[in-house]
Amino acid sequence: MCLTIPGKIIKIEGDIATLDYGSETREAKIVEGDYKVGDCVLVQARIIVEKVDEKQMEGWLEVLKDVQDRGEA
Amino acid sequence: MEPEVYFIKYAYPCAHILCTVRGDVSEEKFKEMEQAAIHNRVMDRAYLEKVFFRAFDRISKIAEEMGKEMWDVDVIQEYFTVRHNPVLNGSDYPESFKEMCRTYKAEVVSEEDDGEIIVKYLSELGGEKKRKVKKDYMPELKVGERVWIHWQYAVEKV
Repeated sequence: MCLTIPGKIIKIEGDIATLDYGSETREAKIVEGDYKVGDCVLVQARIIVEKVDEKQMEGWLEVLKDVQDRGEA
Repeated sequence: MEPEVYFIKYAYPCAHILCTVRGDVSEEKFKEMEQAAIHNRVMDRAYLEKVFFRAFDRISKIAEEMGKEMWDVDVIQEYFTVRHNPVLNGSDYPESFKEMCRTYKAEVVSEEDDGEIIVKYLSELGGEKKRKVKKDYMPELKVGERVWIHWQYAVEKV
């Protein structure tokens, strides 16, 4: 789609990471690079492509929360 | 309306995310986009094509199908109001994110004290839903009017 959105790694098993997206989790593959639980990452086509810093992640979560509070769950 | 202005009205909420998360859009450019969307200012085409390259990949294909230019309001409207949701539904975005990202036809049901409005729409998730949206693009919007919504904005009248 138009954007790549960040998630936080909450579990790693082999080369499969479980990512938390606030409201739900998704799995993504680690192809290259060092990632650990707690890292915030961007995923494209189910592959982790890059790390984003905590501060950017916090900003994103604020935006997401503000926007989602606008709608009915 | 100029196609650059029409495009940014739909795309500005997404820029918020591009700005916050990736730094692809600087704070300054982000403010420029907001002003462009609210005050109908024309932004540089090349810049918009670069920042929203994925959207323009699709828009250029639609333009070809329609036998029109890419920078044409009809083409951009076809993208945001017709083609955008099916592509989105096929993506692996989280469901709650998809819902905000979908464009919907909505009806203004009330006005809030803070100047924003409540709209209702038929959600693809099933049933009628409500959302609080900004009417910065159309300050004159009245209860009962029908509008397209995208993220936290009422974008244009249906």
